[in-house]
Amino acid sequence: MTAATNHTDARPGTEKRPRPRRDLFGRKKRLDDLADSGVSLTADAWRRLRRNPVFPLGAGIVTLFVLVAIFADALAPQNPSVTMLADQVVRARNEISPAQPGHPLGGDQFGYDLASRLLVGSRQTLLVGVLATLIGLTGGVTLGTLAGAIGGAVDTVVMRLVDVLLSIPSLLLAVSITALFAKGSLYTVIVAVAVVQIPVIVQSTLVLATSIIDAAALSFLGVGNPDRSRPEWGQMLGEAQNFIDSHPSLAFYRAICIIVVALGFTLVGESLREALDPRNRR
Amino acid sequence: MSTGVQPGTAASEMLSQRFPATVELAVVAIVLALLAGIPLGYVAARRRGGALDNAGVISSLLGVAVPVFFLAFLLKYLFAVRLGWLPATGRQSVGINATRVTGFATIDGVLTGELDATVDALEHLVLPAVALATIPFAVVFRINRAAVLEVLDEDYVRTAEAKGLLARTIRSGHVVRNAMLPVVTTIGLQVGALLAGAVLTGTVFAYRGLGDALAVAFRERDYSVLQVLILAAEIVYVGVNLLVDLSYALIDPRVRAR
Repeated sequence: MTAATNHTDARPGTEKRPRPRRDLFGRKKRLDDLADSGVSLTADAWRRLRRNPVFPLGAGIVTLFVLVAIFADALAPQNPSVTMLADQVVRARNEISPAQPGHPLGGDQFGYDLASRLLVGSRQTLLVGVLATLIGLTGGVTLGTLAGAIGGAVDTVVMRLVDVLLSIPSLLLAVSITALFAKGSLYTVIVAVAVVQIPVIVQSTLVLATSIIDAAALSFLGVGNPDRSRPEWGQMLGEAQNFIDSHPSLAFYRAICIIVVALGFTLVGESLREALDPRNRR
Repeated sequence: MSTGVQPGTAASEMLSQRFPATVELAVVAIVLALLAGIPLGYVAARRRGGALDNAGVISSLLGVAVPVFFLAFLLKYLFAVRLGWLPATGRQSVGINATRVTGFATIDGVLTGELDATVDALEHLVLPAVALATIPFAVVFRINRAAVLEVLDEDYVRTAEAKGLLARTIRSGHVVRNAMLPVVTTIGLQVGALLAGAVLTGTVFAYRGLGDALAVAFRERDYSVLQVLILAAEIVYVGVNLLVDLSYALIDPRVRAR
């Protein structure tokens, strides 16, 4: 009698086969699907992307966000740049009007309709994220290609410059850049957020999420975009800090918008990375 | 035009007051992140797809998506304002008059025998440290999980299993040790995230460290103070990353050979 027959698992037909367990990103244990070779990288990546349960969630959030940004004007229940007239008196006493018919989330600290501001704010938020990502991506890829292709002195100069950028914690660098401008604007925010992303261009969708959060951080520190005619979520959340104890809901709604959208972009980025990583091909 | 953080205070004096506070906070936050992130990352990788793995992945994704200052607000609102378990702001309660020796409030209390001061300092550290630890925790968890997954598939782990080594030996000698390298690399980078986080949460908790001072200096566009503070932050950041590079040799004998 060998050791193997003693083992209950070894009886024919009842072998304990490792159950192909998937994690949230739909990865299986590698050895389980060695059979899928001979497919092109793109086809394979696309197949893994569709199998990934996280991807539809992220893609759904991002699609919804872009649609809201496009149709914000039509969706907004009120004109986002007109203050609620009935509340002028209330506003003078520095109070915030509660939810009421036509104003599902009530007013904000200036008397604007909060829901409309949030809907319209999605536009600038998308703009900050996309422009900062594009600038960072273009800068990073150009510098990297130049350094690699020309080599020599150019390589050295570029790499030392990148070292300098990397030696300062990214948000401190971003805030320093905006602090250099006498007056903040939407574009100083975009430039600052973009420059700090240049050395870390790995996955553009992840950069989009960090750009939106970094923009929020800049506004929070008071060096963001002060232009209230073009609301942006980060700026709005930053401004809510003064009302956090009296009206936490102001910060809450804005933060939820940022968190959901940042999560959506992160999920898409993560699942793309998983799908495109050749090491996951088997 | 610029008034400085505390008018009339020399930047160097401010630095010596606030630097220990920030070091104390950053060390506690990093230790929290590592204590939670490394074991959880390991267990999640071993039971991939299990409930703990999924919960860990979800919380680490959320940890990256939540703006750190909003998290700080939430923690303060819940545990200090609503529940009243912990102090909302500051480094020291009124009535506690600790003797200053090193500038590290927790250590000073032990050195002078004023244990109530140490307890008080620790209570003040909890909320800022937890808020700051979130992002490093999320990153450490994910990187350790990925690294352990990677290592578990290596031939040397299979060989170690085949030659009948104890599971404990394989875990500590083969899996964890090899998975440590990317984790250690990220610690260096997370110190940068911590310093940035300290700027953002310093004002929320009125924790009188470098972050709080930087936030005021940015708002006032006080360039001379900014230069001093950013230089200090940068020296810490670069110094920690140098230590991280040197520590590779301790962990990986292959690095030492060269």
